[in-house]
Amino acid sequence: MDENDVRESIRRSLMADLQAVDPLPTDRVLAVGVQLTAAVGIGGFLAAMGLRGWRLMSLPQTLALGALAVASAACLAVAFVRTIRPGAPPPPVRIEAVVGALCIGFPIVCGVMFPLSPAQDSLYNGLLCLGMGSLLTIGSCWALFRIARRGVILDGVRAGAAIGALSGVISAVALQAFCPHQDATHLAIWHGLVIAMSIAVGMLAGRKAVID
Amino acid sequence: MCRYQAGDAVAANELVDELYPILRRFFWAIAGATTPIDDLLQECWLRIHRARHSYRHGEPVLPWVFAIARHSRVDQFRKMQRTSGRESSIDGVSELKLLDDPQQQWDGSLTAQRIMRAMDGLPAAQRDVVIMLKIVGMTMEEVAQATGSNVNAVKQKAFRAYRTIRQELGVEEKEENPRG
Repeated sequence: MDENDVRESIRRSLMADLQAVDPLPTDRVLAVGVQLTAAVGIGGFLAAMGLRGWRLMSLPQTLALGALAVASAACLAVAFVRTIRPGAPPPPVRIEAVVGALCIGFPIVCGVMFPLSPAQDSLYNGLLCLGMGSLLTIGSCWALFRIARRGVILDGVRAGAAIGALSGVISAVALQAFCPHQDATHLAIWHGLVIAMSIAVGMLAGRKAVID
Repeated sequence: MCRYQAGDAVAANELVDELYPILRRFFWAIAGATTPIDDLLQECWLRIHRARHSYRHGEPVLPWVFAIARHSRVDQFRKMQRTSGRESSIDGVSELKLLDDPQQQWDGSLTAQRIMRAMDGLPAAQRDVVIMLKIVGMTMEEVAQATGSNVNAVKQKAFRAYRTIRQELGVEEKEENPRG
């Protein structure tokens, strides 16, 4: 095809669907949207299920896990918003770093801050938390994906990791406040697995979306 | 770009006229003569059109365009890799295409051919940086935005790429500061 033919063909394709579009909101507005989604997800779950776990936690435990959750959710929200805008500057903290810190930091905080009481760590309790966490993750993934679709996803794996990690954090926080089994092993394995699984599924879904 | 977002046909035409040659140069330098860049160009323009709402008023256009263009190329490469396994090659077609391609005439000199060959051996990230800096003519800041990295990382990649190209061409290396 001649160079001018290609140019004309491009011109025709553009003209065929030339409508006014609403520009993407600012990063700040999008990040607030992500944080509101997280707050609504956690609030809704806790309103339905109660706060038994939270009442069992001491102040240092609440502060340690709260700090980890707030810091990672804030970093992930900014990183996620940057992944859905082409040509956006890199986030202050890379998604890979936040995901790594979360996957390593969560079990460490649980191990250091919570007691070991093996009686509480049964397979049934674990699977129950994993199931509930997964359901919550699906809900928050769906909400975050709707925000992502407002922008443009170029790097599916990174965007998937960010959505997965954010959903994982939302689920872990909600589980932490609800779950009555405040034992280091139970938290590190089963609640940690919810985070790890949602990151892995997010990355795989993002990769698959890019390939297809 | 803002008028294009508002659905202005004249602005869309102007944008195509302005960006088409730049994108063509970029894809040609990246893909080489054997890959059909017309498809890449059309695919890239469709993506630009679909993503036009994601451009922010007041920001430079080139980093936004090239962020999309780079990913169009990566996706096209992935698609080619998947389909190449299912297709049988026809001997001689690529050679014929090479000889008949008028773009080959643009690259007549031996040195240019050697530089392009040396660039083929570079990692994709370094090659993109060199093409955007030297062929498209973007600034370090624009390349950094288009590649989602920072200026120092771009400088580092460009420095490494130039060093590799110099080695390939057998040119004596001068002492150079990667941050300079």
